[in-house]
Amino acid sequence: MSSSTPVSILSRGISVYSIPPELLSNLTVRSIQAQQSNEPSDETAEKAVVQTVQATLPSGAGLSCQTCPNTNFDTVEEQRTHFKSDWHRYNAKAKLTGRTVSAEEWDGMVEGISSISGSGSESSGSSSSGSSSQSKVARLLKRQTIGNGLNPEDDDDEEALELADRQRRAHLRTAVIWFSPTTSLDSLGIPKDTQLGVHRALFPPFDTAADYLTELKRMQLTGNENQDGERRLTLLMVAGGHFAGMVVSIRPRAKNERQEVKGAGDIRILKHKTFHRYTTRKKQGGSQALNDNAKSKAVSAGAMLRRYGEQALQEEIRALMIDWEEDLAASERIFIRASTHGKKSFWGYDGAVLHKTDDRIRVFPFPTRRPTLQELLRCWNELTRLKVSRLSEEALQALDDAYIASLQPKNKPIKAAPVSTPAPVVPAVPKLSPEEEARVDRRKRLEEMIRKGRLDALKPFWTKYQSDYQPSEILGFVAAAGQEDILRYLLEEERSDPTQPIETANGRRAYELSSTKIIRNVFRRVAYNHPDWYDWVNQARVPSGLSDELEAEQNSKKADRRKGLKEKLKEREKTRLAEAENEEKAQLEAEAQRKKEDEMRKVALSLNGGGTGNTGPQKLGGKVGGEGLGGMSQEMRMQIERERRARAAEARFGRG
Amino acid sequence: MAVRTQFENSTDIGVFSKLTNAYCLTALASSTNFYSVFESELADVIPIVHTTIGGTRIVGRLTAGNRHGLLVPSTTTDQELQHLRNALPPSVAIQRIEERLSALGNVIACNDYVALVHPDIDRETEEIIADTLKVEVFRQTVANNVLVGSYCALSNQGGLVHPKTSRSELDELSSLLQVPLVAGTVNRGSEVIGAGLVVNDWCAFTGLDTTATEISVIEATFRLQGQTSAAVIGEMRDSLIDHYV
Repeated sequence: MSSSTPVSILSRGISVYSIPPELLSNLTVRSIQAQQSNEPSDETAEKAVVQTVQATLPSGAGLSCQTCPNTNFDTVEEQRTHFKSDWHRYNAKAKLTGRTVSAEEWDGMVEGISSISGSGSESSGSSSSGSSSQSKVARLLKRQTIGNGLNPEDDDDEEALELADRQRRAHLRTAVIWFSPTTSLDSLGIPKDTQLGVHRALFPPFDTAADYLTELKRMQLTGNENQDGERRLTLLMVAGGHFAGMVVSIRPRAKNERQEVKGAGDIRILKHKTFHRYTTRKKQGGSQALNDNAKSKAVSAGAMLRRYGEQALQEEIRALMIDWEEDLAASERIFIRASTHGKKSFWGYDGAVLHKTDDRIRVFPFPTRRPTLQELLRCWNELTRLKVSRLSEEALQALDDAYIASLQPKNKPIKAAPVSTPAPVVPAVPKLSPEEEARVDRRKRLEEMIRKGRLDALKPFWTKYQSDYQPSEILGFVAAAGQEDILRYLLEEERSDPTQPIETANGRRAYELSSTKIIRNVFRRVAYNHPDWYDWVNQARVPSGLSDELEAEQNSKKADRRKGLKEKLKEREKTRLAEAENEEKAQLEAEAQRKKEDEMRKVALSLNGGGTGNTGPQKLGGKVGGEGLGGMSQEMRMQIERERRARAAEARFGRG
Repeated sequence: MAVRTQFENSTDIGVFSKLTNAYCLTALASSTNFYSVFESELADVIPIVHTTIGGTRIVGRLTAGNRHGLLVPSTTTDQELQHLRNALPPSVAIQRIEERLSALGNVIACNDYVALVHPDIDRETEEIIADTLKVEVFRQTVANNVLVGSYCALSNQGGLVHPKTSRSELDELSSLLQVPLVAGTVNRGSEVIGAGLVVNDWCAFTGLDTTATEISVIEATFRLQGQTSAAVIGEMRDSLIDHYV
C-alpha cells in the first residue's frame, strides 16, 4: 500500500494508537526548548572550571577574599573596599548556589546590565549609585538562577533572561505535543516539513521531550487482539443537567462487528449513556445549588424542581459510575468535563469509584459543547487522531516566538503584557535618523510652547526654525489652542500667511480653526488693519474686518442687550416676590380662620359640659381621624390622608 | 567574667536576652531568676529591661543592637516600642525595621563598629543598620551559614564563631572585624554560638551546659579575665575541636 498511496496516509485520519511503524521510527519531538535542552555537557564543563579555579586559590596567604576567586589585597583598606563592592556582594549570594564569578566575568555581566538599564553607570551620588548597583546584583542573581539553559553570549541580556523564563514555561506545556519526521517519507507521502500533533493529555506528564516519544511508541497497538487486551478510554461530560458518558475501546471496530451508535464509524464503543435532568433555569442559567448558596434558598416551585433534578442527576451518575466500575478501572485515561460542582458526582463521596487524585483523570484540552453522544464522538476523534500541519521551519519558528511572546511575564503587572494574539511578523518601527528625531522633538517643543502660550520662548525659536514649518498650519494650531498673543505675533510681526489651506485639517483655513471669538477677532482686526496683505475674504476666509469702532458698537449693543436682560430679570423677580407675599397672606388668613373655628368648637364643647358626649356642632365627614381636616394646610391634609389610607390598607391585610 | 545561666530550663539564653555595652534586654519569665542573674552582674552599670518583642519572649533573636542603637522588627508593637524608649538611655537610638528577614538577631551580628549581615538583606535595611548602629556593614556568611547572627557572638574585644569556620575564613572575618576571632562552641558542643552566649565588653553569659573548657575559651576570646586571645588560638583549640576543616 505504501508505494501506491503517496499522500493518502495523512489524508485519512490516523489514530494516535496506530501510527505506521516506519513513520513512528522516524519521529522526533518538536518542542520549544528541544534544541537547547540537550547541552548539559557545556554547563558541567563550566562548573568544573569554577571548581578548579577555587581549588587553586591562595588559601590564607596574605589578604584575600574567600568568596571571590583570585583576589589578593595589599592593604586591609583594599580588602574592606572589596567587601563592599558589587562583585563581592554578588558572589556572597552566588556562593550559596555554588557558582561564583571571576572579576572578568563580573565585568562582562555588569556591562550587559548597565547597557540595558540605560542609566549612565557614572551617575554621581553614592546613595543612588548604590541602590542601582543593588538592583543590579539582584537582577544578576535572578538571571543566574533562571538562565541555566542559556547560551553564554546572550546571558548578558535581560530580554534573553525573560525569554528563557518564558521558554521554560512554554517548554512541553502546550496542549499539543508536536512530532515531526526526521526525513521525508516518500513511501508514506509525508514530506519533511510536516508536523504531527498528539494531545498532551494522552500522555503522562513528562519533563523531557524524549519521554514523549518513548511513550508514544509504547502506546501503539500491536495489532494482536489478545496481546493488546481491551484497552479503553472513558469520556464523561456533565453540564447544564446533561450527562453523556462513553467507554471506548482504543482498538477500532472490525468490519464484521455491529455498530450500535449512529455515526460512530469505526469507533468501538463499549458502553455509552446519556441522560438529562432539569437543573438549570432556561433564561438565567447557572445551577440551582449555586444560586442557593449565593443567596438564600429560593422557594419557588421551579427551584424545587431544579434542586430535585440536580440531586437526581447526581445519584444517577453515581449509580452509573458503579455500573461502569470495571471499565473505569481498566481505562487508560478518563476525560472529564464538569464544573466544580459537577465533579461532586464523580468523586469525593463515600463509595466513590473514582478518586480525585487519580492520575488518569484529564480534562478535555479543548472547548466542548453540550454533552451529547455526538459531542463525545467528536471529542474522541479530536483526541485520538493525529493532527497534521505543514509548516516550514521558519514559519514554525515564527509561531514559537509569537507563542512565547504571548505568554505573560511572571511577577509583572498585566499592563506590561505583550500582544496576546500571536502575530508572527511584527512590523518594525521605522528607525529615525538623528536629524529626523531632532525635528520631531522640535515640533513637540513648538506645540508645547504654543499650547502653554509662551510667547517669549517662541520668538527666538520661530526666527530660527521658521523655514521648517508651514506657516498656515502653525497658525491653525495657534488658533485652535486659543493663544491670541502668539497669533497676533505671528500674523502681524512675522506676517505668517493665513491664506494657505491646512492639509491636516481638510484644507480649512487657520481662521476656521479658531476656538473662541477672541481669536476670530484677532484675525478680523488684522484683516481690517492690513486689508492689502492678503485676499482676506476669499483666500483666508475671514468674513470681514473688525475696526475699533465696529467692535465698540458691538460691545455697546451687547451691553444694551445685557441691560435689557437684567431688567427683565428684575421684573420677573419682583412679580415672584409679590406672588409669594400674596400666598403668605392667604395662609395667614386661613390660619386665623382655623383658630376661630377651634375656639368656636371649644366653646361648644364647654357648653355641652366637658366634651364626653361629643354631641356639639360638628362638621360632616370630618370624623374618621377624630378631628376635622378643615382648617389645615394643604400639606398637612395630604399627610393625614396618606396615613389614613395606609392604616386602611393595613387593616385589609390584617383581615386577609 | 562569664556566668552560666538558663532561662526556664533552656540553655539557649541568647534567644531570650540581648546584651550590649549600653543596655541589656531580657525576656519576661515566670520567675525572676534569669533576670536576677543579669541584675547581679550588671545592676547599676547598664539598664536591664524586661520586655517582649511582638508579644514573644525570643527578644534575643528578634533584635539586634549595640551601644549606639537597637533595631527591632516590624512585629514590635507600639507599646513595646514605647516601653523600650522609656527604659533605655536616650543615647540609644531605637529603630523599627520593615524587613522580610524579621529575626534581626539571626541575620545581624554586630559590635560597636562593624556588623555582619545576611547576604539577602534589603538595601534599605542595610542603610538603616549603618545609620542607627553607626557601624560598617558587610554582607557575609559564617562557615557557609547565612544566619550570621546565630552562628557568631561578637564584642569589641573579640568574637566566637561557628566551629566549622575554616582558618582562612577566620582570617578574612577578623580582618573585616578588626578583632581576633576564635572558632568554638558553647553549651557542651552547640554550634549555635549566638543562642548559647551573650557577651559585651566586660562580661558574658552562657548557657548552663557550657563546659569549663568552653568557658575558658570564651573568657580568653573576649578578654574577660585579662588574658590575650593568642593563648586560646594557640593552645586550647585543639583540645576543643577534634577535627576541623
